[in-house]
Formats: sequence, structure tokens, C-alpha cells
Amino acid sequence: MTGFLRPAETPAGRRAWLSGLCESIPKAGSKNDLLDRIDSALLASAPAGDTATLESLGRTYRDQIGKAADVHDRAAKVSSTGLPEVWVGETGVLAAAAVDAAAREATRMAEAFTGGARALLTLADALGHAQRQDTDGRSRMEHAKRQLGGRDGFFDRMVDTDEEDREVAAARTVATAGIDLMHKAAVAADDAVRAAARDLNKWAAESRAGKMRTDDLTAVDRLMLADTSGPAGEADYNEILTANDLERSGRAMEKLSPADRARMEHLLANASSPQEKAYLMKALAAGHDVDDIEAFGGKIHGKDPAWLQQHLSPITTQGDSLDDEGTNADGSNVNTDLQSFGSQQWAQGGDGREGTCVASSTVTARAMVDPVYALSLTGGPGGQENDPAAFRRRLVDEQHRVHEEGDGGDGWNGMGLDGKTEVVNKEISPETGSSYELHEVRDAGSRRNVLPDIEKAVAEGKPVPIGVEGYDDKGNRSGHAMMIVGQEGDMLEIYNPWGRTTWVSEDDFVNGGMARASDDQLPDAYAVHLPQD
Amino acid sequence: MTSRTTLLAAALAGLLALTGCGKDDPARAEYGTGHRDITVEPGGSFALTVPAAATLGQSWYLADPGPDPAVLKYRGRRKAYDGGDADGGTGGTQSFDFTALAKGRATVRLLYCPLNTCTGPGPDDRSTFAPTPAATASPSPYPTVTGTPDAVAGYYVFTVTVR
Repeated sequence: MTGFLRPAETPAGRRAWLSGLCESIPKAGSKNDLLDRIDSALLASAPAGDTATLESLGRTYRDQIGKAADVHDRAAKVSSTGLPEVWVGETGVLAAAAVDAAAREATRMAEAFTGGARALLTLADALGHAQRQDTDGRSRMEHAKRQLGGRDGFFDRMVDTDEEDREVAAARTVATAGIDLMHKAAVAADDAVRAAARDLNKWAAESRAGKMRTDDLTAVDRLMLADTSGPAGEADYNEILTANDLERSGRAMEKLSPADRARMEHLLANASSPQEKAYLMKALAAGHDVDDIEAFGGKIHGKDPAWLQQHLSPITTQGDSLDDEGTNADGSNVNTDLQSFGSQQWAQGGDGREGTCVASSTVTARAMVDPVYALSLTGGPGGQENDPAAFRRRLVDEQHRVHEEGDGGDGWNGMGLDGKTEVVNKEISPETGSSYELHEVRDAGSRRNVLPDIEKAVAEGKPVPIGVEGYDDKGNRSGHAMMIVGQEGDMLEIYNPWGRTTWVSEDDFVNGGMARASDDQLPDAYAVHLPQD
Repeated sequence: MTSRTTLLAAALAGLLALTGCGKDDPARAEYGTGHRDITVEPGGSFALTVPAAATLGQSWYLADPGPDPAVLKYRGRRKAYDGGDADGGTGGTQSFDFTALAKGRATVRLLYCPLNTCTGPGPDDRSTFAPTPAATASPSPYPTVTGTPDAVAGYYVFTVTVR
């Protein structure tokens, strides 16, 4: 290590820098070698952060919880008294439904304040502890440095007496204890900052009604759109409009010409359910023009919410899907949900026998973010079909088209990373507004580093393509493509184009536990494509 | 290439497939699902090698009842991946290794679990689909299959004669 290098001034940079020294200081052979390494360790700054400010902010958040709960109680009271059947908003919302939505939004607000306060106070505690630990370690390093005294000159280094050896050994013991404390402090600070960033990003994404910034819809309309879920699965996991959809659809409304805006408002006002309305807005968020949305609206008008969810949302997340039910003999999670249209799964090749995992995960991800595209696959050209066999033919044809677009192998056999980068950018990016960039993550550190970006992206509703791999006894590789589609706490929801979803932990993602999402032949995440904004 | 040499090449290819082209142990013969009746000499090693791509969610299991332990000794399962850089390579095999111990006849039953059908034989099976309708005399929910592996779970039965 040279004196010209410095640790990156980030929690991850300090952690990586001190991790290397944790290994090398106990092995430092000479006095000068040990002094160099102690100086290198002291170059790393202490864990940064003003714990008093964090605590103060956390308390401010906590003080708002009661106010949000009070709003909920008042809304619930109004709801329980029974409201007359009056319509409010510009798109025709039942007053009673709006009050119920307001009560749920108030609950979400209270949860967000609770979660935000907890995240900040936990971070303040962890940072305070890490800073004290770092100070302790740093003072031991200074002590070791004093024990060693000045650096040896050229002639000093030619002969070491037994006494000098003992002095270096004693200082090495002190420095080893010191670097251990500094490293532990850096790890704790890095983990705490990541966890806080993850939780605060999630709560920010959950503050949904405020995402849709447009004057063309009333607050009631925006509230209802943000609150709407499909009937199957847990409501909080199956909101039709993601945070990104809410933001993009609001922006798109603002950009419409007056005539198109009037057509869009007319479509929304005539929608027969909140779900129908939300899917129309999702189509707008996906970049469709009003002509497309009118045609789409004609196909879905009057359909019940279950039909809409089945045809327009490929993935349904069940309320119990996060329960840990252990693993099968092959390492896969027992708690796994098949994702199907009728009897036909959203699976590669229809039945899993084609190597089109890249194309297939891309097709399903696009269908998740674009209901017009989803309906073209499930409902056919007229949008009215309910035939799993016909869906399978269209799904496989589409997988084949995307496989060829990415220059996949003959016989529907595999696709390289260049092709994958091309197809996710051609197929998914236009609908989400974010281009994808490849990040190879072949070690635990680099996987840990991309976690906050993955979690922020999926919390906003942007799917994240992930590559996993494994090696046989002779070092031959096998690779597979999946999609990260959800996040709750430290858990990631994975769609496997084997036609199913399950959850893995951050630890599984970082430390080779991805078998839970496929099987023990594919344990390691090696690449992700991250949305760029 | 003349038709005669083509035929010769095909015959050689068939012979190699039967006797185990590219196998690890030169003394170990390898047999696929196309060879259900196998004859080996006492002391001989052989493998049942079946197609299974790691990326396609396919897996094979040695099912109970196992082969007569007086006739055959089971040595374990090996997996070979396709080895490519791409994601979604469809090559790969799983091999079940045996040694013939003494003269006699033994039955080896392999359960094939393609995608989302089963997770192994016996009580540990966590089927995610309803099993294939019991249209056979098989003592399990899965039929005995005589054709080549496809999208249906089933037992592949090999009869091994040691003489």
C-alpha cells in the first residue's frame, strides 16, 4: 500500500479500506511495514454523521404520528356514519370511497412517520456506537505508533535485535486490536447507513398520493388513484400504480394538449371502477398516447376488477408470500407462488423447456409496467380473450421475438450480457423512462454496494434484471436470468421466468443464497441492470 | 461425404452415445433414457446419464425402492453444466453412478421432475402442481414413462442385468 492512495470518503469505501488492513496488520513483518499500515488505517476518517441532528429529526417525525392517527380516526368516524351516494372529484369518485381512501392514506402516513422515525433513531444509535468504537480503535493505533517510535533508517533495518522484535510484536498486538475495532465500526456504520437509506427510500416511495403532481386532477382523484389495488393478493403489495407510474402519469397529464386532456378526463370519468381508472393512468405512465389509451379503454371498459387484474397484472403478490417456510431439498424456497394466466404460467417457452430466460423475464417485466402490452398477450388483438392456450402461443411468440432481438442462441438457447442490455433497454426502458446500465457484481462487496440502488428502483416500481450463475465440479458454468420486482424491509421479491415468484433476503443476495429463488445449481448473483434515474 | 460414410459416422456416433463419449472414467459406461435394459459384468462401473439443464429447472432423483444392494452399489449423483457464458444455456446432464457387485438383476427407478412439477421422490416432494392423473399402475402420483423426457414428471425405469 502506498501513501498516495486514500480511502474513498464513503461508508463503503472506509469499510473496504479497513477490511484489507484488518488482514494485513497482523501479518506486518517489520517496524516500517507496521508503521505504514497504521498510517494507512489512520487515513480513513471516522464514521460521519451528526447523531444529535438525526435524533432531533427522528423525534420530529415521531411527533407527527399522533396527528396522522387523528386524521385517520376522524376519516374512519365519517365513514362509519354512512355517507350519501354523492360523487366528488373530476373523474367521478364516490364520496364514501374517497373518505375510506383518506383513512387508509392517513394510516400509511402514520406508518411512514413511524418507519421514518425508527430508521433515523436506529441510525443515530448505530452511528453513535460506531463513532465511539472507532475512537477507541484509533487511540490504540496511535498508542501502537508511539510504542514503535521513529521509522528505521537503511542501516537500522540490516539487523534487528531480539528486544526490537519484541517491541514490534507488542505494538502489532495493540495495532491488531485497534484495526479490528476501527473495521467493526466501519462495518456497523456502513450497514446502518444502508439500512436507513433503504427504509427511508421505501417510505418515500410509499408516500404515494403526493407523487402525482398535476393540477388536472383533484386531490381526491389523486388520492383514489394512489390507493387502488387489484382484488387478489395483499392490497399493499399489489397497488396498480407504482410510485414511478404516479409521477410519470401526472407529468404526462400536464403535457397533454387541452383537447387530449379533455379526452383523458372523459375516459377517467366514464371508467366503471377505480381499478379501470388506475389502469388507464398506468397506460399513460407507460408512454401511450391518448388514441392508444382510448382504444385500450374500450377493451377494458366495464370489466370487473378480478378480470382486469388477471389480464393486466402478470404478477400478484400474496399476503403470506413473505412467510419463511424453509427450503426444499434442492435449496429452493418452499413458499413460492406460481404466476399464471388461467392454467398457463408466465414461463419461458410456456413450459420451461426453452432457454429464453432473458427474453422471458424481459417480456414479463414489460407486461408489469405496461397494461396495454399485457392485454395484447393475455386478451389477444381484440383484448377480450380468456384462453390460456392462445395466451401461451402469443407469450412464446413474443419471447422468441425478444430472444432474436437480443441475438440469442439458435434453438432458443441462451443470450449474452450484450444482448440482455439491448433488450431491457428496448423493451422496458421506454415504459419506465429509465435506461438500464449493466453492473457486474461478482463478489459480496460489489453486491452489497448495489443493494440501495436496487431497492430504490423496485420500491419505485422499476424492475431490476438480475443474472445468477453456478459452477459444476469441473468449473463449467450455468447462468440464468431473473427479475427483481419488489422489496419489503430487507427482503427482495424475485420473478423467475420459470413462472413463479418468491422472496430472498439481502443476505441471500450478497452471500450466494440465490438458490432460494431457483435451485442450488444457481446460487450466485453476478450481474444486475440498474435503472439510471 | 458419401451416404456410406454418413452411415458409418452415424453408427459410430450411436456407439459412442451408448458407451459413454467424453465420460470421466474411461472404464465407466454411460447409458441414457434410450437404453433401459443394461447388461454389465460384475465389478463394472456404469452411469445413467440423463439430460438436465440447470437453467430450465429440470432435476432427476434416485427413487425408492432403490436397486438391490447385493447386485448394485449406488455411488452418487453428478451434475454437468453446459459451460457457456450466456444465460439460459439448455445443455447439461445429471449422472447416477453405479458399480455392479454380483450377478443378478436390479431395477433402478429415476424420478424426473421438470419445471414446477415435483421436488423429489417420497414424502419430501413439494409438488406445486397437481400430479399427473394416475393412469398407470405406478405406486406414486407420477406415471412410469417409456418415451423421452418432456414437460411431464415421471419415473424412468432401468433394468440392469449383471452377468
